[in-house]
Amino acid sequence: MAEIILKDVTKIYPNGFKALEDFSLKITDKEFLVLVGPSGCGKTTILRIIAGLEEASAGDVIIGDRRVNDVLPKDRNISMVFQNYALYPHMNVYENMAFSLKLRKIGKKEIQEKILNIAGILEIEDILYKKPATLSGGQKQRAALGRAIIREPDIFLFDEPLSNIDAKLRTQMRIELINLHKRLGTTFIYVTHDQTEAMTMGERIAVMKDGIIQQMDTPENIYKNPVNIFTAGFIGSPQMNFIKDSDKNIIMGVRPEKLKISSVEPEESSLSLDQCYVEAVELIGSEKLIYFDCNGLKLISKVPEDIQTIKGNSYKLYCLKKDIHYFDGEKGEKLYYEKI
Amino acid sequence: MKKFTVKLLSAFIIIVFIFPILYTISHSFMDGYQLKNNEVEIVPEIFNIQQYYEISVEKNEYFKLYINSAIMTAGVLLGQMIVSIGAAYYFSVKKSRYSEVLFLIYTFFMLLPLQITLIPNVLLYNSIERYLGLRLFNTQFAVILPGVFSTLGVFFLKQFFESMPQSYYEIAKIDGASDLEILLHVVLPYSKNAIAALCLLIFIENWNLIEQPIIFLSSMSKMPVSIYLNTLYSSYREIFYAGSVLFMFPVIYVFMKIRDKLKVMVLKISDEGR
Amino acid sequence: MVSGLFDRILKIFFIFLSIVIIIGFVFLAIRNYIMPEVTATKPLENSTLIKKDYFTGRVISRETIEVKADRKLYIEEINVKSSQIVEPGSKIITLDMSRQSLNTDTEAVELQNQIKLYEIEKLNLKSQMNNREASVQRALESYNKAKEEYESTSYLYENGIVTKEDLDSKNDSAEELRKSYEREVSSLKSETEIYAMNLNRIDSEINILLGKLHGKVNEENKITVDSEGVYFLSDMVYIDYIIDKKIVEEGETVIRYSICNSNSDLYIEAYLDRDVYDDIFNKRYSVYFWKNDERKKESLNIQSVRSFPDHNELIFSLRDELREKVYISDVVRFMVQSEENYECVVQKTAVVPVGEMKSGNYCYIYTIESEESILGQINYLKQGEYKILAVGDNTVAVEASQTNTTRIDRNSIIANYASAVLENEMRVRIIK
Repeated sequence: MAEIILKDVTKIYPNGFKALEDFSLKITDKEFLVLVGPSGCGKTTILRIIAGLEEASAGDVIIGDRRVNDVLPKDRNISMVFQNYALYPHMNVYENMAFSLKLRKIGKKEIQEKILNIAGILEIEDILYKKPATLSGGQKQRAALGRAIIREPDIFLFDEPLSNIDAKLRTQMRIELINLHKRLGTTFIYVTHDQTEAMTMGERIAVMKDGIIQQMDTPENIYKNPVNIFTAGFIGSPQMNFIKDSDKNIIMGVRPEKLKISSVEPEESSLSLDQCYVEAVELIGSEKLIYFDCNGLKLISKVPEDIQTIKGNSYKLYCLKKDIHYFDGEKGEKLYYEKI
Repeated sequence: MKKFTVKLLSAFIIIVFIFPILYTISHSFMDGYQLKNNEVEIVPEIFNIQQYYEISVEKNEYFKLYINSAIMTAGVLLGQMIVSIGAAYYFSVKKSRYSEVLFLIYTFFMLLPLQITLIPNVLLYNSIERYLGLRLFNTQFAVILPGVFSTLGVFFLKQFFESMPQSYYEIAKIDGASDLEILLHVVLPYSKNAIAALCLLIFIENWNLIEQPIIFLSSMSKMPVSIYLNTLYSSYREIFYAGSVLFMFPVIYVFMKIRDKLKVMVLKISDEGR
Repeated sequence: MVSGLFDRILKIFFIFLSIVIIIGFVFLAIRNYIMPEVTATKPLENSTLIKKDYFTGRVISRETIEVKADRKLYIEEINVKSSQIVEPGSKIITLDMSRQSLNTDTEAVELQNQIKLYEIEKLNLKSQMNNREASVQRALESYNKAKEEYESTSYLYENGIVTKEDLDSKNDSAEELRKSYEREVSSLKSETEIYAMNLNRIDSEINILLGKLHGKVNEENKITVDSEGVYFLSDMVYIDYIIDKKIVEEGETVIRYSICNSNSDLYIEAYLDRDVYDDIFNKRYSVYFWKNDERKKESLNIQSVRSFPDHNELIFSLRDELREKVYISDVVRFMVQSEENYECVVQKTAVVPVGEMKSGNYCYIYTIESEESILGQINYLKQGEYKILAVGDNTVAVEASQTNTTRIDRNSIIANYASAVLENEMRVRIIK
């Protein structure tokens, strides 16, 4: 049982910086939760508090059924994967993985069995006896994973593990991590600042800013129904287009793929914009991103690649009413009724 | 043009430093006759190893003192290793206001030159002798103990330990290592080269100690070679040069060996930073 | 290329220096640790030393019997050597009977006959004395009887049974008998005196005759041989001197011998040193002796010492129980033991004598000096020449000889060597 509950946790650093205040979070057993947000939002702090590397200034940290505020990291039955892999540089991969087991005084033969088993799963048999300095990023990450897995923890904590890996490998690793989660069936808590990563991996995502969870839900729901302007702008790539309506103090948000180019006005009541000049066009595979300048307002539209536009020309843009998200001009909260 | 002057300057500096060493080495291969008559000569007339023969077979009390030097240096090295590593680790791990203040005091003491600490040391030894009946004068300990507690090592190692990525420490904690186990299995292997560099510094410094032995030791049989060379120069000129070369030998040798490791360490630090 | 060569030279140089260092350490170890081991002791000041001197000697009897030839003798064979002990009855010399004139010794027989006559006369006189004594005895008995009769008669008279005349007659007869008894006694007395005188006379006559008889064998220098010409003696004797030529003139000494097992005084012929002799003569001493194969020493009472140019003699008397043990010509060892107080006494193991370890000889003693040097505290030996004054069981008394200036005093530390040969200025290691 590895349900994690953070209850009214406050974290104040010695220099006075308040990272979290009365923060509460519940993570269900065996789920893959992603904590996502900009730097300094407190996601790493939460991870470290769960791990036990940081002490909560106030509040309860409960893992399973017990309050673990005073429990050492090694007794919380967790594993952590760091951004810089943190493989012991003077040991080879085998020894790195064996280290925690040796500390627990497990026999050599048993250690060997476990390591070979995990090496098979992660396909790192060929690098078992190499030192980290000789490994590539991907290999190092796998080794770090191996080291985390071998401890057979109840909870896996990931602190931006794929940030140092090149894009192509990153995608592959994401898939592997998802598969690993399915295979191991343990709780994964994944911290990242990359919203794409969050969207692809998490069963649930917690979007955070300034120590507060803005929205916690499945990726789809967050994408479709961001509860505030921050979440709306954070999630989604390219970023949502925001159009400010200063009269009514509303900000309208439109996803780029919902911003259509047309010469013909559609039937349904919708937002339309004239005089949008093409600034730039970006081809991303099967789609295009067209950067418009509409009277000073910068908008992005995502269209299928076969749509042709001419740079410098002006076009008309529209989007369906149902695709418009309304946010409060001041607080940024989502508005659930149309205020025209 | 600038490159040329730089080269010239470096050449000049090198010559100034290397020349005494070469002079000593070349003189060590001269026999007594030549030494008595013309010491100004640079190159020996006849290349012979009579000096070395004499010092090893006949006047080998030199080696008794060589052992003294070795004991003193080894004692300081060993003591410093234990004290410095332990203290540096403590300072780098336990971050509290108390430890910060302590470290500040410690650094302050590092800055005190030998001349200031010498007399308090003597007074301390005197009181130990008077109140505890333990005689430290004229023993190797009198020289070793001040060296063991010199603060250079603590300072140097603390900085280095702090430069180690925190994640190693954290992952070790998660893995289940106690502070001591982290020190032994993670921190020390990581700091191997820094510790080697520190050892080299300590070794060179203590091998060449002069003031402390003169003040704390009184009988000739306990002196290190550094002092004895002076006696050799005045009384046994004919083996002085051989004695000097033998004295220089360990330092040069160790330095040559460590040189590569130092290079590696420098590269590694830059590598880690990436 | 150059850097490679340079590296090689450097490497050779380093190896050379390492070899020098290793050799240096090896020789240092040899010099420092391989040195003779000695134990250190201090001298004993003003201590008494039991000085013991040994000498050997031979036991000789004081009394020798010398036999000279009474006539010219022709010797066929000499069967003994001088210093030999001869069993009783064994041949001593054999005379050449073909050339030797026999001389039956009738005079001895005649003397013996005369002695016999005197013996018979003595017996006659004795029986006469016996008769005389017997008659005296008889007279006494008669008188006693008469006295008894008188007494019983006087009892009867007092009781009125007999008359006074009877009593008186009894008294008279008793009186008569008494007188006759007294006469007998006095004549016996005079006869006894005469008898004693006669006895003396006869005895002295006999003695003279006996003397003549013995003298015939000894002082009259007669070699008594048996029918085959063999001269032998009936005792176990020690041959002091035996003639070595085959023809002996009259009057020459043929043999000189002592009888072993005799009770005559024994003395030792020994070669004693002057000081030992002085010791025995002048100082307190004890003398012990033992035969070489025995373990127990017996103490000796010396009666006198006589000095000869080349040897000395000790005359001693044996306790009764030792008389069985000591025989003439035994070679015995003697030990003269005297106690002396000496100023400087050291352990015997510290003394290296020049020649024999005995008083009067010179010796070397090594004192240990210590010095502070680079190698630490080193101990080295200083040699000194000394004269041995006296030798004891475990100690030796010495004094500095004139050539040596170092005196041994209470604070000197002396080396007792446990191994090796010591020399002056040699470094040593002191072991406990």
